[in-house]
Amino acid sequence: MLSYLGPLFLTIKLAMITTIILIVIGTPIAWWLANTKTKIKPVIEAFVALPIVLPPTVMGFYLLIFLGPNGGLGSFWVELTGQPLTFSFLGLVIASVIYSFPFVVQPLQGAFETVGKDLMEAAHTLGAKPLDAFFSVAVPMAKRGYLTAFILGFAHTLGEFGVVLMIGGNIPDETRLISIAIYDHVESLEYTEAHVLSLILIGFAFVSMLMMFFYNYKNGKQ
Amino acid sequence: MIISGNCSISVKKDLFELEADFDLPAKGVLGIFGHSGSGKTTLLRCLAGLEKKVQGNIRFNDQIWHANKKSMSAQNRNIGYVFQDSRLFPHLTIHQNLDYGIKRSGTVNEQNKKYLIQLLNIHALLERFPRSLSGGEKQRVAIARALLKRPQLLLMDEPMASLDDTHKNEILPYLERLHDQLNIPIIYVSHSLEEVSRLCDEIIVLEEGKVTFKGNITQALSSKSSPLVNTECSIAVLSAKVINTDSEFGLSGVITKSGTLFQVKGELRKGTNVRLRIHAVDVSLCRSKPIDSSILNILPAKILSVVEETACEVLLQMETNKDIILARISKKSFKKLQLKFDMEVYVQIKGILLQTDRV
Repeated sequence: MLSYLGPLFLTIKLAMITTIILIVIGTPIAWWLANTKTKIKPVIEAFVALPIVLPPTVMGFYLLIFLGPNGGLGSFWVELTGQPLTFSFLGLVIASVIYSFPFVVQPLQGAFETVGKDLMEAAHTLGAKPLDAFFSVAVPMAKRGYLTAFILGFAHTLGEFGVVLMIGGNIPDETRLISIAIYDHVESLEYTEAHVLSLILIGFAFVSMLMMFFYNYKNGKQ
Repeated sequence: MIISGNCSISVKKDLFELEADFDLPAKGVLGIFGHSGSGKTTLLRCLAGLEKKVQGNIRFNDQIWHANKKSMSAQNRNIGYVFQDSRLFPHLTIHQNLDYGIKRSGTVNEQNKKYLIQLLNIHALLERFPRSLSGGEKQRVAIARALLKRPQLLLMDEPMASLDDTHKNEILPYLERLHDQLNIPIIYVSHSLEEVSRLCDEIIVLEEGKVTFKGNITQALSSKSSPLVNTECSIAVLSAKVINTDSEFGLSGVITKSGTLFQVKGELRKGTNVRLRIHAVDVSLCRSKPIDSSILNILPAKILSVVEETACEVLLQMETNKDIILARISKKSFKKLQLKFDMEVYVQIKGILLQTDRV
């Protein structure tokens, strides 16, 4: 009876993996953006922010080409494993990482900018090496930024539709995500299933946002 | 001055260039004095290893901190740095802030920790977070934190600049205690002549990125070639020792190295070293010895030079024995008494500011 919940778990799995990858690769990039004095910083920032403004279909289209069997990464992957990247879970992970990139990097960058270099200098004069100072001062001070980055990255991946449609298709337990499933249910007039999935998603989104704002509220009050 | 190293560097920044060559002390307080924009903070940051694009050499004890373009990073120089804005870690309690440097220096010394917590009177603050502390309390914690890693050199960048007068007076006694009780040298950046005259033994003066004076504090405040003499709050500093006390009137007699005697307020222990500070505005002149004056300290002196003349005032440099005192008097009196170079006169000193336990 609950078989139609499959897409829900697949979506959560994808969002989880994507967000963790994004936190790991987003941290050094955000740190670099927060501290660099290079003149090309606005160019990099604009590039990072692109997924916010582009229609998902545009990104999906180019990702389809890039990840496809004849594309740059896609052909290499086919040669390496014999499997195509498009219409696979791995392809969705790569696409989601790109698609949700700014939602993780921007809050982290903002948080690191507030940390500033003053406290890092203080840490150095107290004997902390750069990496030590980063983990003992910058990361704990940026914890609100990390929470925001995690929730936004997760929630944004959860809601993706256009990109998935272009490169993921609709393969059960592989690429059939919740947004696709809802669309399908509506198309075939299965409103009950569409309601269940939609309401779960609404509840989930609300709870995530509530957690974030509640945490910020609590921290702001201290 | 006993020397522990040397700093000979130049730094080019967008709008100015800093050039400095001076010796680092092995004990006592070396002041770096200058107005804002003179480059004194940049100079201190160079010593700490926080400044980039430094050229030249810095040597301290047997370590090379900087040689041409090779620079030892800040975390490897054994320094303590007190920033103007304290820079306590907001996510850590005061206790954790104090432990931050101790953990990384690898020298745990509970006794030293207790001693510094007591010296700076921060025991009651240990479990609190920095945001709940006043500016003065934060600075005391910052000083303790810098000292707890047992640095070989303490660098202080205007530790009182961000405080109001009440909090300044709260911190100054602690700084004076540091001067007397620590056996590491301190480099103290300041734009306040008051602070410098209270705390420093040696001084270098920076003007627009160049060193315009180096020498001990007494010379710096009284010799004509020093840029510190003709300032608003001209002040002379003398070192002296307590030789007797007068318990009937609550006074003590002190004597300088060159043999000048002064009477100061308070019954001090015989043999105590004191620093006397005499503001130029508190000194007046008489051509003959006043016999019915209420002023206690009346000394024969000679006019060495006129340091500065404004529309209504003159600043005179006076010598009594070998001690130099400054006097700021009105131009009218100067003319009326027909004062001139080399003339023998009497100085009346209205107020002497005093600090005890001076080396």
